[in-house]
Amino acid sequence: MNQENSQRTSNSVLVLGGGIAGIKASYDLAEAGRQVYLLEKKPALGGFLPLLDRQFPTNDCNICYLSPDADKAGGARTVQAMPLTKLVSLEGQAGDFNAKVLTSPRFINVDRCNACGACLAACPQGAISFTPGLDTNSPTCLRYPQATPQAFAIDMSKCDRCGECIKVCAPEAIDLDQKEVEQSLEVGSVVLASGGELWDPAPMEEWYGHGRFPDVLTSLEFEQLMSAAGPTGGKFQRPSDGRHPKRIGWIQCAGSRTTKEGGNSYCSSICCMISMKEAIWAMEHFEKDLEATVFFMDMRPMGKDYELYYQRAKNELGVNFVRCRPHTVDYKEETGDLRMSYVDDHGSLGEVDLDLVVLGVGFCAASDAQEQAAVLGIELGSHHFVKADELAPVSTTRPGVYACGMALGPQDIPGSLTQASAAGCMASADLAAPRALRREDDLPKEKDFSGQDPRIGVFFVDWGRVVQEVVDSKTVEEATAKLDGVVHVERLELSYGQDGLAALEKAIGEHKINRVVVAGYSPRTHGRIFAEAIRKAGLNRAYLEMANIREQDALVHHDDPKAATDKAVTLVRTAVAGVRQAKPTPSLTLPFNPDAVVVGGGVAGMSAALGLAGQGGKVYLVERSRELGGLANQLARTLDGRPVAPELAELVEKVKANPNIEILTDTLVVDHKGQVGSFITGVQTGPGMFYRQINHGVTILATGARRYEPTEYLYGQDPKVMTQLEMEKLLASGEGGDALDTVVMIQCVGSRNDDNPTCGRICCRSAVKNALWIKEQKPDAQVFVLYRDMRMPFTSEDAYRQAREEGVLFVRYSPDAPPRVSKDGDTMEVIFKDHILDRELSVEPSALVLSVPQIAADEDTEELCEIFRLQQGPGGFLLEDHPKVKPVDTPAPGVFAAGSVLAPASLAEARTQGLAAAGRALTMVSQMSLVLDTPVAKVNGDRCAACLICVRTCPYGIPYINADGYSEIDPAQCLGCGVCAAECPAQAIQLPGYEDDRMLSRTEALLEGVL
Amino acid sequence: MITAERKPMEEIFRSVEPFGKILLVGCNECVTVCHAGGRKEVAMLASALRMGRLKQGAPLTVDEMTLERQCDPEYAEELALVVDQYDAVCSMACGCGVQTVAERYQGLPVMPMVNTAFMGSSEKNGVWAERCAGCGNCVLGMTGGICPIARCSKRIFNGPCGGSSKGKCEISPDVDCAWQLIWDRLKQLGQTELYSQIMAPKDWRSARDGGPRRIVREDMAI
Amino acid sequence: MSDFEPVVVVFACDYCAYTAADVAGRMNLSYPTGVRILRVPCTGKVEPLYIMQALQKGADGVMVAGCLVGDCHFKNGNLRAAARVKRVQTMLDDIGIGGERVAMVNVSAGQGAKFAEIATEFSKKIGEMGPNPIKQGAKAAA
Repeated sequence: MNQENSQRTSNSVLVLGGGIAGIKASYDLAEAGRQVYLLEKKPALGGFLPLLDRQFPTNDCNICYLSPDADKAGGARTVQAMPLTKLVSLEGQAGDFNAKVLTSPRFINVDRCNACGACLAACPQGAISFTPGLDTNSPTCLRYPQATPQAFAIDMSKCDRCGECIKVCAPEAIDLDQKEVEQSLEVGSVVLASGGELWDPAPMEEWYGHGRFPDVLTSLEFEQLMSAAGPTGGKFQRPSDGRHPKRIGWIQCAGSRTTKEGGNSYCSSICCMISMKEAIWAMEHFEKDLEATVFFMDMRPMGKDYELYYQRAKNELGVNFVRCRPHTVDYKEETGDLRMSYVDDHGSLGEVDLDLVVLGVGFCAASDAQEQAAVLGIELGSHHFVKADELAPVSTTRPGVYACGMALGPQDIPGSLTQASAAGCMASADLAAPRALRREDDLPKEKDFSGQDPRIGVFFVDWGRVVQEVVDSKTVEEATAKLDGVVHVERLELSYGQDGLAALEKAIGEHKINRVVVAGYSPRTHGRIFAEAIRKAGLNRAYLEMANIREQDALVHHDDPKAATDKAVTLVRTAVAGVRQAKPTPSLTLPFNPDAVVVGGGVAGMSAALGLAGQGGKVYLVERSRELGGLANQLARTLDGRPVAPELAELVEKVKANPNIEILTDTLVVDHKGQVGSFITGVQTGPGMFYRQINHGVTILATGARRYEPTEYLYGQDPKVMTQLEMEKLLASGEGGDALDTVVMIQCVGSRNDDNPTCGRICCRSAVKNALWIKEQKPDAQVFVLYRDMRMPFTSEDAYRQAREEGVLFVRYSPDAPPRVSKDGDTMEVIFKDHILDRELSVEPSALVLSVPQIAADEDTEELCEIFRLQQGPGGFLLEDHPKVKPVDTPAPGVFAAGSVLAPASLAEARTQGLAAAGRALTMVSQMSLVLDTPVAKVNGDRCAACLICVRTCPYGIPYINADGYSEIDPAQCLGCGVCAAECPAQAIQLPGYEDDRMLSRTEALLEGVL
Repeated sequence: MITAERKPMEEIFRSVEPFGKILLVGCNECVTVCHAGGRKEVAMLASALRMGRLKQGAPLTVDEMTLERQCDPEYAEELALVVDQYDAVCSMACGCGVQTVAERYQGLPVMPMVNTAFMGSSEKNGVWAERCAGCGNCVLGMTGGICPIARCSKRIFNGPCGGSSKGKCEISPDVDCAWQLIWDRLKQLGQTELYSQIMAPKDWRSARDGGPRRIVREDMAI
Repeated sequence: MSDFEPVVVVFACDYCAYTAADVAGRMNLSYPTGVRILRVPCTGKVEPLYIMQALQKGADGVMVAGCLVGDCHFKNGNLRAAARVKRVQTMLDDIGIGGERVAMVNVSAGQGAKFAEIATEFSKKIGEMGPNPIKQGAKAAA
């Protein structure tokens, strides 16, 4: 997979694109001890995600989840975020690249800008009203409220250098003479995550009316309409006349699945889910009686459990679904409404009046994709997306350059994140063996202040910026100096680089300060910086408290300076009261065993093993059967007609040849204990089932699924009836003969029904694959595919089109009138209803092929869940930590999952998830020791009544009653939410930083003088 | 475990009305586990009392203390050093704890702050249910581990009565018929023959009917 | 009573509401100066006692501000907080302080405007209810 070890000397990766995929790849790599240069063409990180108000299927606002990662990616010591920067050239080879990058001027000094917005307000061109999201092109542009970096930028093409912004900028951050800067970076590998673009409906204005009628919006524009941070401030109004819309239509496949000029032939994969989410959210939050209608050709909710979301939208939430081909959107002068015409399922014309039309537009490759590919020296595949391969899904044609996210094709967030972790894993393999991270070692020893009175230093940071002519600094400083325990008050200027922090460290030493209060910024944005600074000065990080007198005082009370000043005094007093009682939080260092256990030797498991091998310690690959390969052993070829066996054999060979992988076939996992970094897994191995224990630090579960054994349609009773896999085998044998004369395939057998409500995800593709193969072997064969929705993501839609062109007949059936199969002697008959002809047809098939899903290997998965303390989701598949943002993590720290144990997976998905799980595991493995310094709940055993309340209420099941009869909480696992402490009836549990006495002191200080 | 619930605030205010300074005493045993009178509930009630009395313009000084187990005289002794300073002791322990403290400090009013409820177990976090009536003569071995005294509304020994319908008791659809549960369990255990044995009328002398009970272990009580 | 400016203590979850308050600042919105925020790691850490203590120390109202329902970073801390707030409300009604003085609210990290709006509304409502009744009692007792 890589060059010789000796050539791998670099520890740096270049990541192109600061969307969710780029951020994820960067953050994974940084956590694994790598140096990352994160390039983003735009002024801030974020990509598409910040433009979405809500994300399916949880309907959460994932900015809460993204922004800490973005903060970390932007703030982590080993990630250098480089906004407004692009790659100019890439020379060299994997392991040793030289990248030239060009940074455009922002005209605003990021280190000084505090994103106060004064420049925005002052800019005299009327065009400069900042509406976050929609108006991304305003001259000074902060993409969204939590942008990273927290700074505005100026668009010189709109600026007339009037200088108004310079006058109002308190921190003097504006510099209209900034020049572009070129730099040369040495990196070992490159991750391309430059994303895609929303399809522009302009070429189809004639039909959709977008651009002509203000009430025709794209899906992303509609997101903004619903967003509290959007142009209407969260009010639900249609653009033309501000009326509250009551009838909204979503038009699916706008610009997708079409051969029309200006459109895309492929399926954009995620638009069905986006539209459903928008419909549900609009109904739930703005208009209960909303007539929400989705006009679609096939509903394609294709991610894990997305089918359930669709069923819920349809059956429980009252979203209307109309199967049709949308035709034209017109404007009705008399009513001001829109009229949409369409051709329905039976071929007749329909019309409907709507208040608002949302186009479920697709995504396409970035407009500069070709330019970028040329710079990178990689090939593009169809539709200008990066060319990748079924079994090398995140690799490009140039070794050392990997891709993830929408650069590879339209992608939902879990897909992007999975690819990002996979690309990170591949990119890491081109680098030198990771350095062990021992960050505590570079720091001075912590001073011991036990028994000493508090000596508190209060530092006012960047007064110039904070005050903003609101807070009277002198009053606040005088009041602060009088507080009990305060020995030193000083102003710091952080805006001029690291000098401010150096001054802080110096003052701590000079004045023997043992507690620090920093007044100025929010702890959310600056807490980490100051905690590290005091740690460098020899103080435990817990000896810090922040007074947020900027965001939560000066900036919100600008109209009342007197009250703002009083409140600043109060907030500082509160922080001083809190820090007075601070106790050091010991940082916990755990030795970390770099070895890994991978359970399951299919494509996902083998990929995970290869991803880890050589980057950490040893990998134990545990497989219950005698052979590696899993379900893929039964596959003959891919959708695009390439044979699977040679590539699979190559993968198996690589695994067998890798000296860092020990393969344990005929082996079962029987027990598992310990915690991340020091797991012990018991296995029974070989024909004799000998028991053996393996010590390791991380675990990856890739135990796969099993094929549903149909009971429907005479399966097992007539040799003509077979599954798609059996048909595939027949085709591979080349001995199909007469059986291929008239083939009827029935989709959704054993899925999307009451027993198994989930979608098999990949069976449609198998059917099209086999249909094409039949046509290839016997061009005059008659092939019928009886389907409910053809679910053909991305370019597999092209194969679907090809199949229709080659004469494969696709006939839709509805679940309440499924095809009927009867047999009379040797004659078999399939009867089904054709919706267009509106009559029943009868076919005598030579073969009847059932498309059956992969289903959870119930008992095995159940046992697995028991052993690893995990949960099963709908359909019995393993439940991941978070379906959106942590798709291959499990809730158990150090345990990851990949492949069809999570959900039915294609080869490419299994391979990607395997690599992704390895990439996630590397973030832990590379740390030779695990240093934990976040506050974790502590139990006072003397007080504990062993009442079990903490055990029952911990969201992660971490506390347990130990052998001494009191509750114990593993500091390596606790996440510090404090629920146990809040519930403990004996006040035996305390969360450092939020102890009862400390909270009381804060409350008292906050309310001093009120009574 | 003994379960209890805090008394209604109105009653509590009435009972402390005469006092200006009280010691609120919790117990770290059963009442902690059932969230009625542990350290945290003591702090909550103390806060409520201070506020309520302040509102009335008659401030009440409330000091807090929680004993390991109020129903043991040695633990009750821990109050001795401070108890003189107070107008009353308000106990958040069960009736046993209240009486132990009252017996030790006979010159001082000792007021109960909780209503002692029953002997029960926790069905899940925040839900407790009666399981034992302390009758002094356990028959659980005959009834599949389900007590007909504590869990049957009528405490009948040879049930069910005619009020049992679809597995529920006639007093409320939320109450399971104990005898239905017993029957189901006996079937599960393959012990249905126990059901057909008629149980003799219970001798209630071992319960409260024989007057206050004591247990004396001669080998220990020396 | 019209010049009464209520003091409202907000226990704000670090992941959502506290960030939303920061965002409100960055958006240059405003809300009454009597609104004072204490940071907690999750509203699941907010004990009923904290709310009681805030009122006992003179706050006129208390707001517990957590993540949107279903969005808790720690799964369900915000639901626990909501249930505890209900319990405290009952107790406050019982002791004559008024359960209405305490509220559970949910905002996401990006909803700066919503935070400012909620803070303003709640403050207004408390203003209409008048000062924490223990203040009057404290004066009378003094």
